[in-house]
Amino acid sequence: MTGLQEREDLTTAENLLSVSGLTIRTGDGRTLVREVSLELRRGETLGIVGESGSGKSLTARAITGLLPRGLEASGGAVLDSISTLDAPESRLRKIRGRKVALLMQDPFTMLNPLQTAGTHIIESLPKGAIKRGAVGAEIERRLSEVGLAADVAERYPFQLSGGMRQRLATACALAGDPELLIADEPTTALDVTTQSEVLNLLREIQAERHMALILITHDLGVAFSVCDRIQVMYAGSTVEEGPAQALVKTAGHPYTVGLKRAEPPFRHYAPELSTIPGRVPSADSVWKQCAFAARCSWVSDQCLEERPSLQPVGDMRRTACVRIDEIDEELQAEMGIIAQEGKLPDIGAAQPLLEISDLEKSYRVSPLLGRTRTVPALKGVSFGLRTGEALGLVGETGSGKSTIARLLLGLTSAESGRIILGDLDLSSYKSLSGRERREARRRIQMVFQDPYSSLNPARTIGGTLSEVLQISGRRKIGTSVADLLTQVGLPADYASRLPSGLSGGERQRVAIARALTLEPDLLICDEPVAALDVSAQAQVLELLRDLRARHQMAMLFITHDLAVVRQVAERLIVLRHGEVVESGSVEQVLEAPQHLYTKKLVQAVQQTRGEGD
Amino acid sequence: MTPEVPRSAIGRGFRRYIAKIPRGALVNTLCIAVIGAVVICAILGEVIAPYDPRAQDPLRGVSPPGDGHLLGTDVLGRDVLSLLIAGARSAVVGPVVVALGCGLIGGLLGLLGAYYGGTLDAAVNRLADLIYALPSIIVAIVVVGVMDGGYWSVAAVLTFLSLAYQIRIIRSVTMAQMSLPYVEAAKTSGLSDTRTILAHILPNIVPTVLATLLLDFVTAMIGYAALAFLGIGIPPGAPNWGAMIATGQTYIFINPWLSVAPAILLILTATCVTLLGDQLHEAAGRKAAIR
Amino acid sequence: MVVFLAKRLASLIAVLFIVSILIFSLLALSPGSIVSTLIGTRPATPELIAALEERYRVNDPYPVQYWHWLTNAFQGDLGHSVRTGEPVVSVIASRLPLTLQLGAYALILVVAVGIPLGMLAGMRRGRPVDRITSTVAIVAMSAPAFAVAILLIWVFGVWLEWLPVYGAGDGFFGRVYHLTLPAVSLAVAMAAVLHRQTRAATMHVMDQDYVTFARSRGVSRMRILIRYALRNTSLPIVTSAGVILIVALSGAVLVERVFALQGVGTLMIESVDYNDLPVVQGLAMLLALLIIIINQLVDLLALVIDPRTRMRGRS
Repeated sequence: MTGLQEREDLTTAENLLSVSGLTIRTGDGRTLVREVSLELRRGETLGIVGESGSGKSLTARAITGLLPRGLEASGGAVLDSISTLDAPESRLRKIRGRKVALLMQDPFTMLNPLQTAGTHIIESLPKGAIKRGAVGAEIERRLSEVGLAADVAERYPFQLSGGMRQRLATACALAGDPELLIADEPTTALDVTTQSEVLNLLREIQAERHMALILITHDLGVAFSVCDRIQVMYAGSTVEEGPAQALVKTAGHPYTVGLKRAEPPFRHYAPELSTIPGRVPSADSVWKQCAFAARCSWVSDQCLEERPSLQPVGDMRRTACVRIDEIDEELQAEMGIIAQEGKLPDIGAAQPLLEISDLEKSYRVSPLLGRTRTVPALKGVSFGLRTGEALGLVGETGSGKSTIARLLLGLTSAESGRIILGDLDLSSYKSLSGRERREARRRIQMVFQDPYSSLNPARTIGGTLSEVLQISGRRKIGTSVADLLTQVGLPADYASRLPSGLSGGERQRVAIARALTLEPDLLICDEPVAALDVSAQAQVLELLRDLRARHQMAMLFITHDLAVVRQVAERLIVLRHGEVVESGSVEQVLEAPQHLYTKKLVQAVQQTRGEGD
Repeated sequence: MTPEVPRSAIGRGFRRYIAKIPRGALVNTLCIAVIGAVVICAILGEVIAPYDPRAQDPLRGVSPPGDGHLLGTDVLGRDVLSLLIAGARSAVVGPVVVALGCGLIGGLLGLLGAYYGGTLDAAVNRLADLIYALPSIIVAIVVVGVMDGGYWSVAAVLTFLSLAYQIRIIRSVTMAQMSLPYVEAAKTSGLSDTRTILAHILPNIVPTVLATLLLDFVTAMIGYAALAFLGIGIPPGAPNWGAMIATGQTYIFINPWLSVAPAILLILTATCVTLLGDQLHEAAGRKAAIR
Repeated sequence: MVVFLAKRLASLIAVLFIVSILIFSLLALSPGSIVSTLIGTRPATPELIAALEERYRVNDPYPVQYWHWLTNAFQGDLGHSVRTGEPVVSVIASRLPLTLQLGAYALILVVAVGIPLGMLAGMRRGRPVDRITSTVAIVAMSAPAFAVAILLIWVFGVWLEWLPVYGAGDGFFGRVYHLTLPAVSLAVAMAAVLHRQTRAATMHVMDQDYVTFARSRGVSRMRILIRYALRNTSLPIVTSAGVILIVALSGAVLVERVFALQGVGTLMIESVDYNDLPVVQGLAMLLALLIIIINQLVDLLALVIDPRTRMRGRS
């Protein structure tokens, strides 16, 4: 059977959902999603993969008739012979929950804060399906399906952890026994270990119920580990579509190659992180050409002539790359390069730079009812850092990793413990003289997590940088804002722009440039790539590695992502609930974890990336 | 929550008609025009009034519009329109002083409280809580009334009573900025506190500061008028909108304009300023949301 | 829970105590002695002055005066009106019912108009309902109660002659009939503010993920309206309702004056005009008590509405 015939079989009555030519526009006429089509059989799992701005979430929202206010969808979406794009709200309300349910990204905002878990499930059950007396048993059954204990029913969302909330939300979404579950980045807001648990849960439930599932994610690995078929979206349109097994091995579109390569490897150090140059364009700016053309290394004139449509290639695959026949071999060769292994560059002999011992810090919580409690954030943390060394600080939410950064910068103060930086005692910023404080802040600089708020929106890039340049005294020796920008790979004319005119990755470069202006001995990076898309992530990581080598500065790299830390750090500290549970060289810790928690972390990463088992 | 019901053609036409009601530019222009007119009256006053607002004609007394008097005359035979124009000054000057005064004091307290935190912040916060719990006009009536205070003591009392709103708003927007990493980044770059406040926090809260100033102005204007309505804080017989509303009430059957006109003028001016303040507030919110 | 209530009660009494000192000292320091007010145009013989000074204890040291006033206040004696010689408590008691009726009437109007329209506007953002009610609300918000009162008198009393423009009326229906214009004047600005607060809160809630998630599960419209929108908006609404009520107290004073209603508000203005300090002090204490109760009720309601405030600290 050829691929084409198979395709035709797919589009027959077996289809639970078929979307064709779906286009989503804003009220003022901008196009966000253009002519996206997808098909899904009963019991099938489809992964929609793309970076932010690809339109993957909007596509899901449109299918359920839940587009945000001000957006309009056209085209067709037929779910079990009901057209969802033009059905009236009253009709949609009847199929939502029963035919299709949507599970959203953030478990912290998805549940009604004033309602208990049990009530959430009751209200989601179809009316009249359960007899009054059986409600309690039904709730228990529903909770146990998602792995929650019966006593959770009495609790409010704020009393549950992120993972438990996502499980509860899943139970709610499944309460109407839908034939299709759309999960929109269901694990992105969760910790690594919880992520793999929730993904496993989704996998199990899907198999058990034989329910169709659309999993929307930015992470190809996650999609591979759960889905039968994958659809890759870019700038509002589909660039490639095919079976997951095929996509794991080969790529049908240069963007897919870029996406796969940009993901930092977890198992080894990659001497060269591959990046996709440039940034994601708006759907409107590329509607008459291949959307990826501007960032593609195989671009030719025919890519710019017209908007490519999906063409079948090989077994059941379709791609929007017009040159696929010519460049196929090169693409597959490119895929292989990812596996290239390397060794961390040696930093040579080094002096001790920073010594932290027995740091303790706690926060006070005073509820309206009951007595004030103190919640420990750090319970006696000690570690050291040598000049030029890069230390990874790994931990999940609440591990206290960001508190350490804030203590080092004097943004908060510790109850006890010592922080010694060379000849400066930073244990208490308050007792430092003005000169010492300035000196400390020159020697320690920080790159913050969120590039969207770490730059003053009211000041130009040049204004932000020249202000720090002034303090550094480097202006006298002829350093200019342009030099600073070039150093981080940005054009000098960016100085006149406001942060709002820059992409996330570019803003993070500016933030790095600002931190480096003072030529610090220690650069603290607090999740510097967590808020960025994979393609921008690799760019920033590459830049950080390069700058560290050039400036011989030490780096404290705080992250939750083991693959990222593998690419930048020599040594690793694993934090949990404010305590160091394991430390050692990166290879040692990640390849032969000793502590139970570290083992769990490593296992979780392997599972979510589909590298486990 | 927007059911997609097919709309009838008539419904659609009506909706379009409503949708065309201009909310942006035209409304703003109108507001600025009204405020401009009031300000001009406040500055020029007697100069542009058709009659001398002090010229009495006891024999004429209260009369309805006509006879060269567009809005009639009051009990002393004075021209109502001229009184209105002359009254703009006392309606505007005091509130402007109050708005600026409490903008400066309250703004500074809110900003510094939020920036430095600790005891200063706690004290500022307590002050705001306390003032918030005061029914301002009643307190003003009692304090100014019992003390027999004049126009400027009203300004002092109203300034104090408006501090709460100013402090809370500025404090909360400053706190919001403080929680953003760029302020921490500025601090950790070694910038001085003064520089951090002036160069980083202030530019981002200016729209909010302006909006609160305008709303403070409205509150003060209403407060002033209410006190004048009760005969507090202004010399008897002086041209004043609030006082005109009170004295005109007696003659509402003979010449309603005597109290209706200043009432409309008061509401109109207050509305225009509120509208502008509201737009500024929304613009500030949008700017924050775009980031 | 008991500890919590006891703490609240203790702080309440402490605040009331401080307020009483403030009120007493502020008024005691006012210019113009009570004695000269009392004497008025009578010839000021030394005997008369001495007798009045004795009766009003003006020569006692200030703390002693305060102590007398406080101990008497505890026994329900706030002194005697300088103007009429009646006990302050009974003067206030005779005026209070009318004011309370006016307030209740206005409050019903405010809640009945402000909240539903605000929710409607919040859910139909940008639609005609929202545009019209929001524009009206801005105008209404900027309109002081006494100015609105004058306009209403002009339109409904003078022009249309539908409703009475002064006096309180007799019997239940007479009262309602007479209090309609005053209550509406008082309600306009409050309803506008409540409309805006409700609208903002509703818009915020309707934009939340949990509403979208509920819709995606096919939860009924009514349930989303009540259990999601109304319950989650009630917290900010209740909080703002406290502030609105306090502002409304001021409005009531002026509205009573416009409509010549013999309520507590007019009593206050008359007493201030006459320098009738004992009455002003009594009214001020009553007002302080009222405000403290309003604030405590708001806090308690917040506890009842939101489980998070019950079990976790407010940050």
